[in-house]
Amino acid sequence: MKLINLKSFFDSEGVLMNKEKDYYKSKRSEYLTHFIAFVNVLVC
Amino acid sequence: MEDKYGKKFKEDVILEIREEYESIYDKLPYIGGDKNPLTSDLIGAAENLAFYIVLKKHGKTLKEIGELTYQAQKILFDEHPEMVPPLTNPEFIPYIKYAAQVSKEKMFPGDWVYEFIEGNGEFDFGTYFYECGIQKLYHKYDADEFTPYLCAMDILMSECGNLGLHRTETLAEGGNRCNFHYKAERETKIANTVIKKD
Repeated sequence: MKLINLKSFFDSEGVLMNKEKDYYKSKRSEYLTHFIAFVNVLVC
Repeated sequence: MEDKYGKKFKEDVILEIREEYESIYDKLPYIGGDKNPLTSDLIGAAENLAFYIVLKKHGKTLKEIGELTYQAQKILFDEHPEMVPPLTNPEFIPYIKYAAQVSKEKMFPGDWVYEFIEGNGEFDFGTYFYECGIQKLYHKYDADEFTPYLCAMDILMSECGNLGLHRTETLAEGGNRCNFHYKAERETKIANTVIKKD
């Protein structure tokens, strides 16, 4: 199996920091929905 | 929680927990996003961390908070067994091996670092963790004491998924590594310092 060198991938894509910010930003709604379900179980 | 602390307490803390979670979320270290299977573990750890920080602020003890989160995780696994990754599925194991190799490149400081251990008959396969993303995150928030409760949740995961996890040590509980050994369908045996089984 061929290993993907993620660092090279991100470097070639441009700015790593922008990738990082984009990931969590793009997933915010999905993870918040999951979190609310988690809290509902916790507080019941 | 309402049964234990009352409705007012519950209502007071819900908003605080959400605000705390969003604050933690915004500062989470990037560890590869969807390319890293442990990103979801980091997010789950952030959820529990928000709960810990807020309840601690409200004077609850570590034991109270830890047992509440442990019970909540049990309910979640009971209601959603699909949350348990099919770790002992032979088709899934090569993926774990690959992910372990990638982790050793140490591309992201907040990430886990682990190696894949081939099965030897006694177990299907193992993973030895030398760095833990949850331990690093919790340390940053001065929540080291809470980390063993997250380790304990592997008991629930193994039992729910029939993963037959055996583990004798973890980084968070003073070990040199976390030594996971899986064998499908056998009894789960996990040494843990905070949750005592019946």
